[in-house]
Amino acid sequence: MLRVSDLSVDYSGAVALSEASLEVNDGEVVGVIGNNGAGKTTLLKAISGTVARRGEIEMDNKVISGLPAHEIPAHGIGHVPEGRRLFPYLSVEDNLALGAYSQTQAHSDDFERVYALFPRLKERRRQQAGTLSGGEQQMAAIARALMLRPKLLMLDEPSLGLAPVIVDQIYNTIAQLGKSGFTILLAEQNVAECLEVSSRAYVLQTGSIIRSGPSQELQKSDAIRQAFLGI
Amino acid sequence: MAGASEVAGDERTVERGRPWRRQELWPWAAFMVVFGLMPVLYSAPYQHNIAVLICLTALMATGWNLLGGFTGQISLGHALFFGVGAYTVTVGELRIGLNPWLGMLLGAAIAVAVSMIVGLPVFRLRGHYFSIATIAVGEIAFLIFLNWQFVGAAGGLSIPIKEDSLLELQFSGQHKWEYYYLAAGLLLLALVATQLILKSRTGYYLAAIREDQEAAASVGIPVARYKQIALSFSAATVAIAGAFFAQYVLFVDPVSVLELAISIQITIAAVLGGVKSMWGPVIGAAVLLSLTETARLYLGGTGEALNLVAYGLLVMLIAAFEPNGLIGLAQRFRRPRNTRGQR
Amino acid sequence: MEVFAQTIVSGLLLGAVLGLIAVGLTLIFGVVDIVNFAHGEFLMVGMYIAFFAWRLWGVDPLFSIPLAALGVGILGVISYLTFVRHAMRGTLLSQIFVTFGLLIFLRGLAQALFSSNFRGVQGSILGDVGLSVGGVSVPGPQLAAAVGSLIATSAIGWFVWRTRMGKALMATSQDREAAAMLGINPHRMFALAWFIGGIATGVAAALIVSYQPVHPNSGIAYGLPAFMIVALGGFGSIGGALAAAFLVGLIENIAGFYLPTEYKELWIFVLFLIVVIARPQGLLGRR
Repeated sequence: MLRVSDLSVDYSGAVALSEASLEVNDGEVVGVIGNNGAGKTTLLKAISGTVARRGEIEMDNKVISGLPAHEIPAHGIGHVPEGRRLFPYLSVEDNLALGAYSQTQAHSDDFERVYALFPRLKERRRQQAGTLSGGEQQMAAIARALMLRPKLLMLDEPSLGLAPVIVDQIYNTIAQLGKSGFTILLAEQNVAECLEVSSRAYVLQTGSIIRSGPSQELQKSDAIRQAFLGI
Repeated sequence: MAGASEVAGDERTVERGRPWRRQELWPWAAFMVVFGLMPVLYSAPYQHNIAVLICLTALMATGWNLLGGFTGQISLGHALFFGVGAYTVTVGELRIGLNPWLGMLLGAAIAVAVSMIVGLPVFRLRGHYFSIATIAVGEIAFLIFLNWQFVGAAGGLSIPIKEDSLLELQFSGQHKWEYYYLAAGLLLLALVATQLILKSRTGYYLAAIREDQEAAASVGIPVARYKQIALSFSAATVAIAGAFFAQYVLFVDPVSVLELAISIQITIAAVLGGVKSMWGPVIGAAVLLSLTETARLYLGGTGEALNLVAYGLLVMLIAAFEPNGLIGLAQRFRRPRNTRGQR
Repeated sequence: MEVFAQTIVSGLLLGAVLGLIAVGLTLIFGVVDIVNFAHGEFLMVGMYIAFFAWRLWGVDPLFSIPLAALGVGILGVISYLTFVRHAMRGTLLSQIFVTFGLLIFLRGLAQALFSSNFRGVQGSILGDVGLSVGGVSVPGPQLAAAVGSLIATSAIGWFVWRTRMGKALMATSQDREAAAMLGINPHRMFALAWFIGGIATGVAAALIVSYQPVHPNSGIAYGLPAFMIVALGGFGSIGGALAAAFLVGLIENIAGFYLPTEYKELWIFVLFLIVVIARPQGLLGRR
């Protein structure tokens, strides 16, 4: 579904991502793990066009690497950015409605679908998004991306800054989405959780993909365990 | 151009000041030649008037630019300091018979004092807020002087005409060359002072503040103090220009020295020429006033309006496409194409 | 007491009109991050449109509101597409001076085309109409301007908070990048903000021209207070701008009555400085 070849990003001279290549197939949950500053966020932003990039990105065999950010969602890529990035002064419902902006028409049953997934959001739908708790904001951000009916859902650090209980909840939902057939690209510092829900994963270090493989194998790898799991 | 990396790279030389490079000397030579010969080139009396105004505008813009261009604090209320200088000379002469040269110095001193009162609150603001606050400060001064009887209110004040003398800074000759050389001398002084500041440690601090105030503060630069230093220098320079202007036209009123239009005029000359170079304001003032004069001369009243159209367009073009002004434009032609694009 | 009531009424009438102008300005700033220093000149252009509609075709300013609105709206879009778009990527200096250049340009153009003369609409429909309630007189044109401004402001509020496109506009003002990730084209939103900001100003212009003459510099009288109002209310805050506009209208009238009248405009700037220094994000600002 998604094929990325030799993707590079420079931030005013400094290399943030260097010739990264990866692939995400239909129905897969693929992880991208790495430390803070390894280039995970840059990788996802390069795919969704919010940073200037070199290299080729193909989505369903269409080259999308030359497109500006706002034309990417129409190709079925939903990006849940790092830090959730809700519109804080719009209501939860307006945030969700804007998620479907690139659709020619919003589907009313989509609201029901995401509210079924996150019942809390239905209770809070009239509230300003900025007043939600961190966990609720993460749910709303995922819900907003789901409103797009994405073929590929990209999640950037969904566990960042959340209490462990909430992290579990979010990951249950991600696992549930994966089982129901969603294709997901998940960037995480929380390596344990990420390898748990993904089938394959790529390891990023200082802007380069240094390793990839089935998540179960990576979980067993001593190098990975030492580098990320502190064992 | 003078980014943070350059600041860091030259750190060793900071203590002893930056050494002079040969290519930095030729603008001085060019300045001396052009400004020295200006009265010879322009012999008609109306051209002398323009030459004097070019010097004064360049002087104001040079003062503004240390704060606006080199420190990145875009003030839109500098007419305040122009007015302070102009009114100090006039009121001093009228009320206590103060010598105009002393009045000029006193005006600069008062401007520095005023800049400290003003700087304290407005420097707490950043970006657009700072600029709009400076407009408010300028307007407050304008409205106060417009209604203050002691300084002549809306009617303004006239400086009594005296015998020609350097001491009294009055010359009745139509050619105005005395005024011209004095104004050019003041401009030269301001340029030398600016150069010395830019070459000193202060210059680096100001550049660091322009690039990133937080970063500057985090490496221990006393940001508030250095912003105030830039403002004080700026205020004093503009006040001197104001004092000279009042003495030159022998009349002062709020509309001619304190209006928002004056603040804009001060900044536009710098922006037009290029704020990243100390020569930008000089070139900007020369182009701006020559343009104005030519339009007025050949087109009369409509010329004044068309001149506004032209230089409004020029300012928009520069803001949108060449932020380094006419100097940036010139460099664009001089440099090979592929080395451009450092913003 | 009657006099006091009169100053209150006059203050509210002025506040409503200033509110519409400031809402246009704050909307542009909120979305595009640029202060339109030529906003007063936009108003001047709108006033000329309405004036000439009356002069050439005998159309009362009240009926040329759509024309003035559209004209200034288009002016806003053109300003964005030609210069502002490029200056946005530049430094703060570019962002400030691009609209300063526009201000000078528009003033010069008006002066070249129409001379510096004052031009006023005579015998407008509302010219002689007026209310008088318990000694408080309310002139018709000013009342119509206030009511018209409130209607237009409400319409803008409805647009930005209730329609899909308006919500996309607000989303862009709150987080440009996140909005783009949802497929919202930022450039279209920027142009839209300039269009709506222009429309608001054009409506105000046609309303004002029934009772105030126009000349090349007539924008400044409304432009300057509008900058103060927008900063007072908090840049980008529509509600804040509206509240601050009424505050400014009231203060100008009350101060003009109880304190020396020649200083009546002074207090707005003083109030502005006190507020922004105590609370740099403005009265209702969020940033």
